[in-house]
Amino acid sequence: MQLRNVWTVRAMVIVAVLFAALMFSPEHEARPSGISSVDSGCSCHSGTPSSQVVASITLANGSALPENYEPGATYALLISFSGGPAEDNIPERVNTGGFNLVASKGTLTPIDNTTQILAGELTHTDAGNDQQAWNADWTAPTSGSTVLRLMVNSVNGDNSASSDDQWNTVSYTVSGAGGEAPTMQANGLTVLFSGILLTAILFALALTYVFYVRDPESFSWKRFQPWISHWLTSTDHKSVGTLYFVSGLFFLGVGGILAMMIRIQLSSPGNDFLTKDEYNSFFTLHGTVMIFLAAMPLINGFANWIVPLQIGAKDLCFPRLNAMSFWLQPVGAILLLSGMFSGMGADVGWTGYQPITSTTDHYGATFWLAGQVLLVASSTLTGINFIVTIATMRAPGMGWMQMPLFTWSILVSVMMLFISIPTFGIGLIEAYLDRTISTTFYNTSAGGDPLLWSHLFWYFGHPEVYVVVVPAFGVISEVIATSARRTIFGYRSMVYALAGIGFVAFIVYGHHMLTSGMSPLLRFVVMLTTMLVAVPTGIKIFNWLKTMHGGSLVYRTHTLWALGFLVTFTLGGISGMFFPAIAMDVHLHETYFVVAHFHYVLVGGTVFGLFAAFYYWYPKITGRMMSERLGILHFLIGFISYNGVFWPMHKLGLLGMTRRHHTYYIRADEYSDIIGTLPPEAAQWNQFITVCAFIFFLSNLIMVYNIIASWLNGRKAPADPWGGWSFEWLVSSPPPTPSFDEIPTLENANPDHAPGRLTGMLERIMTPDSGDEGEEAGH
Amino acid sequence: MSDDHGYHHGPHEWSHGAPHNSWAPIIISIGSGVFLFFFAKAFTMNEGMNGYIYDSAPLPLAIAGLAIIFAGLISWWKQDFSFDGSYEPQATHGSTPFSNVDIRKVGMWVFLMSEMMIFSSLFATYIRYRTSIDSCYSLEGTVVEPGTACWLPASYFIAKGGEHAHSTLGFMPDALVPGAINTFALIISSYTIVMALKTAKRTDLEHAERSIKVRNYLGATFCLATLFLVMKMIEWFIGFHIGPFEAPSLLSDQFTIHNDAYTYNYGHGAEAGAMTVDIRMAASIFYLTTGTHGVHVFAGIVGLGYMVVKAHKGGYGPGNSVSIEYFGLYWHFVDLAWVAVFPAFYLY
Ligand code: HEM
Ligand SMILES: [Cu+2]
Repeated sequence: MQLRNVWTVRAMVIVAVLFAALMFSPEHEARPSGISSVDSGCSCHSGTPSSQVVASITLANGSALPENYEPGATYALLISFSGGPAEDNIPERVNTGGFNLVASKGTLTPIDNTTQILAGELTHTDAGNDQQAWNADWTAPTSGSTVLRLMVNSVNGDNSASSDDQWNTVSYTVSGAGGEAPTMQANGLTVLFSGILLTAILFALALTYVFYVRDPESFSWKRFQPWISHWLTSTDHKSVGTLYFVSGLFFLGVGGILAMMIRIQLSSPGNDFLTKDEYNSFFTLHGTVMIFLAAMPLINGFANWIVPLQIGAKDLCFPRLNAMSFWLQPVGAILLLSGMFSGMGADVGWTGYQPITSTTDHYGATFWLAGQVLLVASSTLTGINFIVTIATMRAPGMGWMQMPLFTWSILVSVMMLFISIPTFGIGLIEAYLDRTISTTFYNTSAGGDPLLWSHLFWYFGHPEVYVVVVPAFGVISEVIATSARRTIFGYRSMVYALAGIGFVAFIVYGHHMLTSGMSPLLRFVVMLTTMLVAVPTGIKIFNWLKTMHGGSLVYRTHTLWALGFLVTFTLGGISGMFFPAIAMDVHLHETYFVVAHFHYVLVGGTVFGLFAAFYYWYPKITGRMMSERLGILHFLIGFISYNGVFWPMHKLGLLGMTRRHHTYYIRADEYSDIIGTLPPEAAQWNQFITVCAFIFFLSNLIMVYNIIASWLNGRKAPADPWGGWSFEWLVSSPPPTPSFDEIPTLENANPDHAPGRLTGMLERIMTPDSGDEGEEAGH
Repeated sequence: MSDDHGYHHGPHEWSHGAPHNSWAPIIISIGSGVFLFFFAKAFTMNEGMNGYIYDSAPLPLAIAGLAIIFAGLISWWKQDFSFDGSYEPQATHGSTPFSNVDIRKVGMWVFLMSEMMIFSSLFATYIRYRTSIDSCYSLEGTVVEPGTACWLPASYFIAKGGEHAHSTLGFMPDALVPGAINTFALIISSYTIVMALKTAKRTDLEHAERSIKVRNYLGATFCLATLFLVMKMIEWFIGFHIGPFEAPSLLSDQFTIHNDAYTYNYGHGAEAGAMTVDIRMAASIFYLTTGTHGVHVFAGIVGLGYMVVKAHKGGYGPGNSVSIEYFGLYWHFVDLAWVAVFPAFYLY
C-alpha cells in the first residue's frame, strides 16, 4: 500500500503504540477462588463457589448490623460462616475455615490473635485457621455509606487444596450518619435505557438549537412542517433509504453500548457489574438489536438507495408499502425494547428458545415477541417490493444475466428472507398467544414441544444469517471490481454461487440442533449439506481474488474494507466449517468458539461489507466526498481492534468458557482442575478483549463523525467518483427525484449472453399477446 | 412534478404515477404497535399457565390501536379512490419471464407465496402435535391419570359431539351443518367475485348499468364472506338452537384453550367409561388456524367494503377492472386455504 501522506503514517504509529501498550500492560491479578493472600496464616485453598456455605457478619452481641452507623463509633463484629465441608467438625482435621473481610470505609482492627490485617484487608491468622467464627472491631467513618464485603472458605481440612473446598461471599451496606434514607435501588437496565433515550432527546434538542441559532428568522413551524412531513410521509426510495440509515446507525450504537456493558461484566472473573438477570437481557437485546435493528435496516438502506438506481427504475414498484416496511421498524423496535424501561427486558436470547420464551417471568419477553411480529411484517413487505421490482422493472436491455451483482445479492437475500420469515412469524404469534391468552403451544404440561420452536425458528434463522451476509457479498463484488478497474471475474459463476447459497440455505438448518438429540441419520445429512455451503462461498472468494489478480487495484477506504472483509470473512468461514462436523459441534456447542465464529461472519462479514458500502456509495447518496484520511484511520484502528476482540474468543471457547453465562470463575493454579472453572489465562484474555472492544466501539465513532462532517463540509462529488459503470453512476450525485428522467437502456453488457433456451420458452409462455390486458389497462 | 410534492392527502392525481407522500404507512404501523402492546397488557398468562389474568383497563386502548390501523387504511384509500386505471405500470419489455405483465399482479402472486408459508407453518404445528400426542380415543379403556394430555380433535365436538345432542337431520350431525354451509358460502363467493370481474370487463353495457351489476356481485361476495364469519362466531360462542335443530357451541361443549380437565365420556353400556383429560393443545391449534383463516376473511371483508363503495360510485369499468382481479386472486387463495383447513379440523 502506498503511504500517501504523513497522516496515514501517524495514524499507524498511534495504533502501533496503543497495541504495544496493551501487550505490556501489567498482568491481570484476579481473585480466582475465594481467598488467596500470601501470608502463611491465610488459607490458599481453591475450591468452588457454593451456596451451601452461608457467610454472615453480626454485632458481637448477636444482633444484626445497624442500618445506619454513628460516625466514628466502634462496633464489635462477629464474623462467621456455616455449612460446607467444615461443618463436619472432625477434630483431627486442620485448617478448616478462613475468611477475608474488606470495608470500603472506616477501619478494621483485630482484637485477638486469630485475625490480622493484610494489605488493608482483615483476614485470619494461623492461629485462627480452625475456626468458623472470629471477632474484630470496625470503626465507622464520619460519613458516606460503607460496604462490608466478606469472603469465607469452608475447607475439608485435609491440609491441601482440593475441589471439595467451598467458598462464598456476602456484602453488607451500612448507611452513613443521620440515617440517609435507604434509597430505592435503581435498576441498572432502566438507568441505561433511560440514559440512551435522554441522550437521544438531548441530541434532538441540541440539533434544534443549532438550527435556531443559525437562522432564528426561518425557525418557524411554517418551515418546519413541510420538512418533518416530508420525512414522515415520503415514499421516495431515496428518502426511505436515508431513514433506514439513520435508524440503523442509531441501533448499531445501542447494540454497541450493550456489547460494552457485556464486556465490562466479563472483564474480570466473578464480576458483579451486571446481575444475572440484567446480563441475560443484555445479550438478548444485543443480539436482537444488532441483527434485526442494525444489520438488516442498514442493508435495507442500501437496497433502497441503490437497487432502483442499478436496474434503471424510477422507484420501487410499491412505494407506499416500502414506506410501511420502514415505519414498522421503529415501532417494532420500541416494543422490543420496552421491557427494558421496567427492568424486565426479554431474557431469552435472540433465538427465543422454548420453553423459556413462553414461561419466563420477565414480561419484556411478551413485548419482544410483539416487536418481532412487526419486524416480520416489515420484512414481508420489503420482500414483495424488492422481488417484484427486480423481476419486472429492469431497464431495457438488462436481462437477468446483465444485472449488477449487488442487485443479484439483494434479490437472493430478499428471496430467502421472504420465503422463510412467515414461519418465524407464526412461531412468534404462537408464543405471543402463549404468553397472553395462555394457549399451550409451548407448554410442556399440555404436550407442547419446545423443539417445534427450534424447527420453526431455525428454518428461518439459518437463511436469516445468509440474508445479512449475502448483500455484503454483493457490495464486495462491486467494490472489488471497481477498485480493480475491471469487470468481475466469473460473473456467471458468481450468480450461480449466490443462487446456490440461496438454495442450500434451506436444507441445512438442522446443524443448529445437532445437540438436540435428533436422529443420527438426519444429523449426518445436515452435516453434508452444511459442508456443501463452503463450495459456492469458496467460488466467490476465489473469484474476488482472481478479479484483483487480473486488475490493478486502487486503494481507497472502501477497497481496504473489502480486503479486510476477505480476510475476516474467510476466517469466519473456516471456523464455520468446524461446526457441521457432528462430534466437533457437540464439543464446541454454546462456547465462546461459537461467539467468535459468528462475530467473524457477522461483524467481519456483514458489518465490514456495510462499512465498505458506506464509503463506496456515500458520494452518490450525499453528493459529497468522504474524508479518506479519517476513513483510513477508521479502518486501521477498527480492523486491528476488531481482531483483538474476537480472535481470542476462539481460545476462550476451547478453554471451555460458556456462552450466555453472566460470569466465569478461574482456577487458583494449573493443577487443580475443577469443573466449570477456567485456567488463569482466561481472565487475562477477557480483559484484553474488553479493552479491544472499547477501542473497536470508539473507532466507529470516527466513521459517524466522518459521515456527518463530510455531509456538511465535504468536497462536492462528481457523478462517478470511482469509475464504476453500473447505472447508479449515470445519474448525478445526489440523484434527482424520480431517480431517472429517462429510463436508460443497457447496451453491450455481456453481449455473449443471448437469451438462453429456457428464457425464450418462458418469454413465450408468460408474455401476454398484444391486445390483451396489456392494452386494455392502458386506456 | 412540484405539485406532487404538496402534502394534500385527499384524492390523488394518478396520471403522474403513484403518490409520493402518504401518512398511511406511519399511522398503520403505530396502530399495530399500540394494539399489540395493550393487548399484551390486558391479557397475561397466569402462573399456573392454565388461564390468564385479565385487566380491563388496557383493552379499550388495544381497540384504539385497531381504530388507528383503520384510520390509516382510510387515509390510504382516500388516495386510491381516484384511481381510474390510468396508471397501471407493466413490467418492462425483456424482463423475462414477466415482460409486459402488470406489476401489481406479479406483486399479488408474490404476496400469496408468503401466505402459503403462513398456512404451511400452521399445518406444520398441527401435524407435529396431531401425530405425536396420543389421541384420546386410543386411551379409551385404559386407566389414565387425571389431567393427562391427549388429543381430542375439533371434529369430535363438531361431529360426534353433535350426535350426543339431538340430531334432527339424520344423515349428518347437526353441528357439522354450519361448517358445511360455510364451505359452500366461500366457494360461491369465489364465483361471484369472478362474475364481478367479468361484468366489469363487459363493453356491451352502459356504464351506469354495468356499475350497478358490478356492485351487486361485489356486494354478494361481501355478504357471503360476512355470513361465513358470523356463522363461525356462532359456532364458537353461541351455538345454533333453532327449533328441533340443535348444534351446541364449541364453548358450551367445553372445547377451550384452558380446559385442562375435560371429562371425556366414551363407549356405551358395559364398555362406557370416563376420564379427565387435558385437551388444551388440540383447542389451541384449532383456534389459531381457523382464527388465522378468519382474520384473512375479515381482511377480505374490509377490502370488499371499499370495493363495493367504489363500484357504487362507478369506479370500475373495462379500463379499470384489474383491482377486482387482484382481489380475486387473494380471495381464491383464502377459499383454497379453507378447503385445506376444513377437512383437517372439521372432518378428520
Ligand atoms: C463492538 C462489537 C461487538 C462486541 C464487543 C460483541 C460482543 C458480544 C458478546 C461478548 C456476546 C456473547 C454474549 C454471551 O453469550 O454471553 C455477543 C453475542 C451476540 N452478538 Fe455481539 N458483539 C459485537 C457486535 C455484534 C454485531 C455487529 C452483531 C450482529 C450484526 C452481533 C451479534 C451478536 C449475536 C447475534 C449474539 C448472540 C446473542 C445471543 O446469544 O442470543 N454482535 N456479542
Ligand atoms: Cu445455520
